[in-house]
Order: sequence, then C-alpha cells, then structure tokens
Amino acid sequence: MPAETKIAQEILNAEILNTKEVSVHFGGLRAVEKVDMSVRRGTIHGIIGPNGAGKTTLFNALTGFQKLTAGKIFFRGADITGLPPEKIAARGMSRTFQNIKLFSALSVLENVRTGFHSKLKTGLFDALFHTFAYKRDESFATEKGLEILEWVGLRDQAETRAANLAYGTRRKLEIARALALDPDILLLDEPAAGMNPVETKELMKLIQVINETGRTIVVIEHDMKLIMNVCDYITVLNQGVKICEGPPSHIRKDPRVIEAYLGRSHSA
Amino acid sequence: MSSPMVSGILFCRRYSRFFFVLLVAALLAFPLLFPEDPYIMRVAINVILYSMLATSLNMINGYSGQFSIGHAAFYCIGAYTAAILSTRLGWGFWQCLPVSGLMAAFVSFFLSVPTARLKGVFLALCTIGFSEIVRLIALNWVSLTRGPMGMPGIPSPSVFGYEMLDNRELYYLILFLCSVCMFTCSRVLKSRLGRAWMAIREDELAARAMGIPTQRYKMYNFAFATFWAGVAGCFYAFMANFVSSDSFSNEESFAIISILLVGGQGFMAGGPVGALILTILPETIRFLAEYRQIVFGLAILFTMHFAPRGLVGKFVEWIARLDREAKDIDMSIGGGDI
Ligand SMILES: Nc1ncnc2c1ncn2[C@@H]1O[C@H](COP(=O)(O)OP(=O)(O)O)[C@@H](O)[C@H]1O
Ligand SMILES: [Mg+2]
Repeated sequence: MPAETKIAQEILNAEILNTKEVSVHFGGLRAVEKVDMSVRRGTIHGIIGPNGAGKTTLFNALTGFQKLTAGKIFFRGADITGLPPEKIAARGMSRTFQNIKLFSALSVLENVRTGFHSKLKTGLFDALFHTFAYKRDESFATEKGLEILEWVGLRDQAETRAANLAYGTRRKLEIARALALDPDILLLDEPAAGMNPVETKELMKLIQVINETGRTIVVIEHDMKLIMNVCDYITVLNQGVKICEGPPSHIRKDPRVIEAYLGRSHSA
Repeated sequence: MSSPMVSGILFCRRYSRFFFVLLVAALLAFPLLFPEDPYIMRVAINVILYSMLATSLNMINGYSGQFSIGHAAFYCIGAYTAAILSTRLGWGFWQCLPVSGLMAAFVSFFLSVPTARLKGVFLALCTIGFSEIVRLIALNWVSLTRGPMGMPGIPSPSVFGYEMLDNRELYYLILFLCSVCMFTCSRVLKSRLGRAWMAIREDELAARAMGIPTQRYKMYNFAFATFWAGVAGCFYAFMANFVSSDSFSNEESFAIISILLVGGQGFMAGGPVGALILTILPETIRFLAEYRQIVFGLAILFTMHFAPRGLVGKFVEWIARLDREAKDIDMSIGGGDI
C-alpha cells in the first residue's frame, strides 16, 4: 500500500514541462538566457520578474511562437523544440496572451467553438452535406462551449460580440477559449492585468478551480498577492536569467528577489 | 425607443424565411416579366455572374482576411479551360464545369505556396502580378489559346441535349450556378473550416494558438474560393461563345473588388448587393457606360467614406442600433443565408 501511494505520488510529481538551457537572443539582447525550468504535473507554477525580464519571451518560446537561439524544450517527455505553435497547441499546451488576442468580430460562443478545432473532424464533404460527422462535431462544440462558458461565468453573454465585452471579461473569455483545447497545461500571461480587485479575486478562484480539474497551470503575474496565494512553486527571472526558484515562502525572503524588485522601483 | 421601428424589425426577423421565399420567387419570375427584352436579360445575367465572382472573392478578402486583387486570373483560367476543352476535345458544358473550377483551384496552389507567408499589400501585389502573368500566357501561348485572335466557336450550354440559346435560359442557368455557389459557401462558413478562416481573419497568432495550421487553411481558402471563379469562367465562355485574353485584364479584377467593397465584404449578401448596384448604375445612366472605371472608383470612394463596411455592413449596423431588444448581431456570418 505505501508502495502504491509512492508510485501515485511520483506520477503526480512527474515533470510535465521541462526547459534545458533555453536561450532567446534578439541581436545582442539576451531576452532569455540559459533558463532551466521544470514544471511538475498538477501544480500552479508562477513566473515573476520585473518588466522586460523575458517572461513573455519565455512563454513564446514554450508555445512555439518564438524560435530558440539555443536549448531544448520537453513537453510530457517529448522534445517539442522547433514545433510550430499549432502542433504544440494540439498536443495539449494552450495559452493566453498578455495583449489580449480575441476574435473580436465573433460572438463569445464562436470564440470558444474555434478552440475545438483540433478535436473536430469535419471536412469539406461533411460541411457541404451536413453528414453525421458534421452534426456530431457542431453539437459537440456548442454543448462543450456552453459548458465552459457556464463554468467561467460567461454563459449569459454567449451571443455578445467579443469586441463589446468589458476588459476584465475579455481576459476571462481568453481563458475559456484556451480551455476548449482541453489542455494538460495552461499558460496564462498576466491574466489579472487591468482587472479590478473583485475580478482579480474571482480570477484567483477560477485558476484554482481549473487546477483542481487536473490541469497544470503556469502563470505570469505582477499581482504579488495572487502569485503568493495560488502558486505552489515560483520561478523568478531578471534580465533573462533565472535568479531563483522555490515555493512562495522561500521566494518571499530571498534577497535577490527583493533586490530585483527594488532595482525596478529605483529606475521607475 | 422608437417602438414601431423595433417591432418592424422584429417582424422582419420573424418572417425572414418568408422574405427569402419571396426573393427566390421574384428571381424565378423575373424573366417572365420581360419576355421580349434581350437587353434586360443580359443585364440580369451580368448581375448574377458578378454576384458569383464577388462572392468567390468574398471568401478570400471577406472571410479569411487575405487580400487578393487579382481575382480575374482565376476567372480567366476557368474560361480558357472551358474554351480549350470544348473546342479541341468537344467536351460539353457540364463536363467542362467541374474541370474549369478544379483547374482554377489547382493553379491557385501555385500562387499560395509562395504567398502563404505574405500579408496585406505584399500579398495584394503578388495576386495582381500573378493575374497579369496569367493573362499574358493566354495572350502569347498561341498554339494553345490562339493568342490575340481569341477562341471562337465555343458551343452554347445544353441540358439533356437541349441547347440553351435564349438569354432567358442562360439566366436560369447562371441563377442556378450562383445559388449553388452561395449555398456551398454559407455551409462551409458554418463549419470548422469557416471558423478557422474567420479566426485567421481576426487574429492569425491566436488562430495558431487554437491549434489551427493557418498556412494550410489559407491555401484551402484560396483553392475553395477560386474554384467558384473558375466555374463562373466556364459559364462565361459558354455564354459568350468566345473568349479572349482582354476580357480578363486588371480592369476586370478591379470591377470584382469594387463590387465586393461597395456591397460589403464579410457579408454573404455583399457580393449580390454590390453587383446589383454597380452593374445597373452604369447601364441606367447611359453616358456613364463609357466611364465604367470612373463610376467604380467613385463608388468605392463614396462607400469607404459613408459606409466603410459596405452597404450591407451599413444596413446591419443600422438594424443593430435600432434592434436593442433582440440579441447583439453576430457579425461573423452577417447577412445569414442570403
Ligand atoms: N520580438 C522582439 N524583438 C526584439 N526585442 C524583443 C522582442 N520581444 C521582446 N523583446 C525584448 O526582450 C525583452 C524581454 O521582453 P518580454 O519577454 O516581453 O519581458 P516581460 O514579459 O518579462 O516583461 C525586452 O527587453 C523586450 O524589449
Ligand atoms: Mg510580458
């Protein structure tokens, strides 16, 4: 019995995402420099660091939007270095963007339905003749889409155009859309930016609820309260370099972190 | 709120199916109202033919956010394919029809392989250059296309051995083809394919993050859209019984894009509305016929200024503003089935 728990514990702790000396340089600028990071399955992993630290660039590298200068990325044990974003997304890694990227002329529900792309099989023939496959795909996308919207609390705005949503709600929709891919790991780039305290609180809860359904979450955030409260583990970047990592209790006391943040407030 | 207005709109919505049937009936009855007037029938045929061409371009410019301004190239390929197959191999209309479409779609791959990474103006320049190349090939490949002499002797379309010589019959034929085209387009738009195209139009990076291989879907989009331009080209060849490369110059591409812009890209009704106005306008005001290009240019200027999303876009916005009681209008499909 203890052996079984141990194995279960090991599976739970297994690393879902791994980077090996990942570097991204823009000319002479080392936006990300030799970053080693491992994200354990089922955790909420925070990434913090002052503006320009390379957090978003690291996300872009992980999701295939940014070519690496050097290094390797492993997702669920497989090497995904150099794969295009759509392949990485279809493998179960989905993300949101710091500068919200919604399909603004489409309705809230259509935004989410688009996220089911790689789950559906409809081809040209099916679409033209409304075959069984088409009907199954469409009702799957609608039902699942509404379910996700219900879940994040956007159900009653399903028919609204995405462009007409309030700012905080747009971020929520982006998360809902990312969930349509049924991802194993969800990458959130500053999800609380532009949210009021009430919305931020709701967001914290949502992140935890998503995590409870078994999804791993990596979150970039400036809101320290959010980070310290929801994250199991935190990686700190500064000027492209990982300067420390550990559980929140450890990060809070680390002198290098305090210095990096103080340095920022001096220059600001 | 102005309640008679709102209830009027709700009425229209509730009975939209009825209006649709009415429209279909009007289109079917139209030739019977003008039995002895070949001129009116010719204009009507042109309106429908250009509706089809603009709808085809709409799939590219309006729904996938790509920007083509050389659509006449594919119209040309369809027409020449039909001309060559019918005059040299004796093929009939219905055999030429799918082959013309497929030929246009096939050639579009040659354009979209190198241009899949290009956007906006750069893509537009490539399409217009490509269109010019296609026209020059048609003009200079004398052994195949008879070059500047054009290709005469294309038979008229026939159904079950019955030859369609009368304009009225041609009207019903193009009405049928255009309906099939629009029906097909609207079905594809309401599927995973159409969603992928619209996602690309709205935000290509976000589309990729949703697992959509955007490069591939842009190629599908070009192929699907140009298929219909090829089909329209086949109809044109069999209707005119003659094709010549100067019917497919950049002026023709410009006409198609003007129609779409005036009607409203991204709306199913955009092509037909634009075609109706821009075909009839130079015809009714006789002295304008000589200055077709100027009329088109002015029409674009006016719509871009007063209705940047085209006339259908303006109409939809107007309804949306009055129709607060009904749900927010989803702009994705716009005009709906029509
Ligand atoms: N595409 C790019 N080209 C050149 N420099 C870039 C590019 N993207 C980001 N950078 C630079 O890389 C550094 C890291 O940026 P970023 O990853 O956005 O930081 P963060 O998200 O931590 O605020 C910044 O100095 C930024 O100016
Ligand atoms: Mg950032």
